[in-house]
Amino acid sequence: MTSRRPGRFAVVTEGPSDYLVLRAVIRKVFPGAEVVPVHPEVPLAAYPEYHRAAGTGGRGTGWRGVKAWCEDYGDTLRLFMRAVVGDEYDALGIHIDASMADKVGAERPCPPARATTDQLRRVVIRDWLGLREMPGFLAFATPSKSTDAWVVAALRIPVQDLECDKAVERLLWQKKHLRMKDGRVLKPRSKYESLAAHVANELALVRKLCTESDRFITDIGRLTPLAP
Amino acid sequence: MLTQLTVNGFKSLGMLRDLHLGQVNVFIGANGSGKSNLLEAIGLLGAAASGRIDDQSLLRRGVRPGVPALYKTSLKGTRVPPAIYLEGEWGGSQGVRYAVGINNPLSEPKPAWGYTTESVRFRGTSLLTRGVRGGYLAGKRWGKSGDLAPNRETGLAALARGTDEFSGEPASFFDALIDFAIFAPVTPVLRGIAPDPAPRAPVGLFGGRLPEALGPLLDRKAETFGDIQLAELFELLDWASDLSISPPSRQLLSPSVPTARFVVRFTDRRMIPERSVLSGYDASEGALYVLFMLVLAMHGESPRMLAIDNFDASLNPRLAGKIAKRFIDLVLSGPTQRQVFLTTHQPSALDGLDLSDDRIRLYAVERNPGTGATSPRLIRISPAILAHGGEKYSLSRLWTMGRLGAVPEL
Repeated sequence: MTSRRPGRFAVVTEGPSDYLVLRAVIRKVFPGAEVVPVHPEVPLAAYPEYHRAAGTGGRGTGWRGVKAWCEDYGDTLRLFMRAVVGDEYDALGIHIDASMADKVGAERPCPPARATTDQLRRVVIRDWLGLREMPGFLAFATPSKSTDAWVVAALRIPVQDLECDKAVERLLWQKKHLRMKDGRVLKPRSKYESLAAHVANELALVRKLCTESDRFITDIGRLTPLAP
Repeated sequence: MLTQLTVNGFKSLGMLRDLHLGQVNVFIGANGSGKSNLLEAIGLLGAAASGRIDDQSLLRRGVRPGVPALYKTSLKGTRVPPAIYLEGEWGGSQGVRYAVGINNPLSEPKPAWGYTTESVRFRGTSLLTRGVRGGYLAGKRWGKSGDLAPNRETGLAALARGTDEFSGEPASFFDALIDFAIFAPVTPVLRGIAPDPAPRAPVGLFGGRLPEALGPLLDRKAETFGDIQLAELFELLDWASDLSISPPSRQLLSPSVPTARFVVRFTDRRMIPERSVLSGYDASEGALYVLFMLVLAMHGESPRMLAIDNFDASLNPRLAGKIAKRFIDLVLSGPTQRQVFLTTHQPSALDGLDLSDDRIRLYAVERNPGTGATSPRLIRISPAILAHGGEKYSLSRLWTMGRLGAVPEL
């Protein structure tokens, strides 16, 4: 463990709401840290024409977007972290929900959540990033089936096997924290930002109820930030 | 070349100290980050150098006129400054330095701003100073019988321009600064169906008189357009096979369309020959923006120092990237050695920038999270990334990934 604290995190998440939760948690652990969303591309909505013309379409959201990002940058991770002189990233967080573990042969009985997330992490490191071992500046956030579990925990909504529930977001709708439209739970930034802040405020409780959140916080505390 | 800019108390800029500029300067940032204010600070310095700062002088340079309450920094937690301070350095620390303080009262503002201080230094020696007690030029008190001749609303440096002390580098600096303008092309003006509110040579600030400006550049016999081959132009406008300038013809335009004295005619290579000629009114607007950029890069009357705000406003991303690259190449290789300032929201426009060339500077313009002041940050890409190249490390990709900053919080 190094004495230097990471000041600039790059985070790769499945979606914008996951980013908001990760940012709130990281800033709770490292007050003042900058947390930059490198995927999904934040300006995706701002530059649709660019993505159309470049034929990228961004990488899209969801686990396939995370996989595409990892496959693009896995072989040059350190280069990516140091791309801009004077504006280097210290640490990288990669988020992936285990709700898709069956698609990559990583699904195991849940609970315990860790049985599946361990397998999933191996897939990401070995198959997506193409690495033999985990770099010291990288931490995974694998909140089992969904990051919403951390929000549900923070809101003290009682659920059996919270981390193993694939449809945990419906609870946020049922308890009127989020709205639903056309069968989908909406997660507007303004609303989810306050839910993410709630996760940070109730972090001790969240760590107790969600083993994967405890693991993430432990992991980022042990990171070895890239040297400047 | 303007190598350094310092601004205090103008709009969102707050205290902007020593912005180091290159020959080509590109500013990226979210809406409201203050990119246009940066360009306007240079325009305001140009107006000050011209000797009078009033609405007309500002509009001529593409600076939005405003009352002192809007011009003077009003950021929360900061005191409204008594005067706006601007300082420009030309040709490095051993070149020319022009510094000016201007003021206009918040209540009952006057039509023109007054000069509070003014100084010009060349190679470390004072050429001119002006303060509350009067002015000095080359160490001698300026004005008849030792009194300060000009009134508070007249710039002393502008009056001194014709003197021997102001020849050479100082004269070049003031000529370029006074001629500086911010261009902001607008489609109806480029098409010739709306008047340009800020006409000037070779083109108006909003694109007026574009056909007239094209005339001296277009040599159909030699198949050249300024410094480039016509074939090269048609690579940018891939749908066009010919270009000409002529008086408007009612065969090509509806009688209800108002026209200018001349119109641009394009030949669309995809159309049948007898019906393939389009006027600037009907042609793709992208073509007009491309021609506008090329005129500014190559025309003999184009300002030596100029800015184009949102040059890519109506361009397809691929075309924006191509014209940005061509425009910059022409600026850097041209005999005039123009200095340009560009703002863009188009990621692909960045892919035309070679940041290993120190003449090209890319700035991310953001608001300081603490003070709210506009804060430009020079982006320096690591040599390893520049050497790596490729699409995944292109500047456009790095920008959309948030790696360069200057992205909106969505």
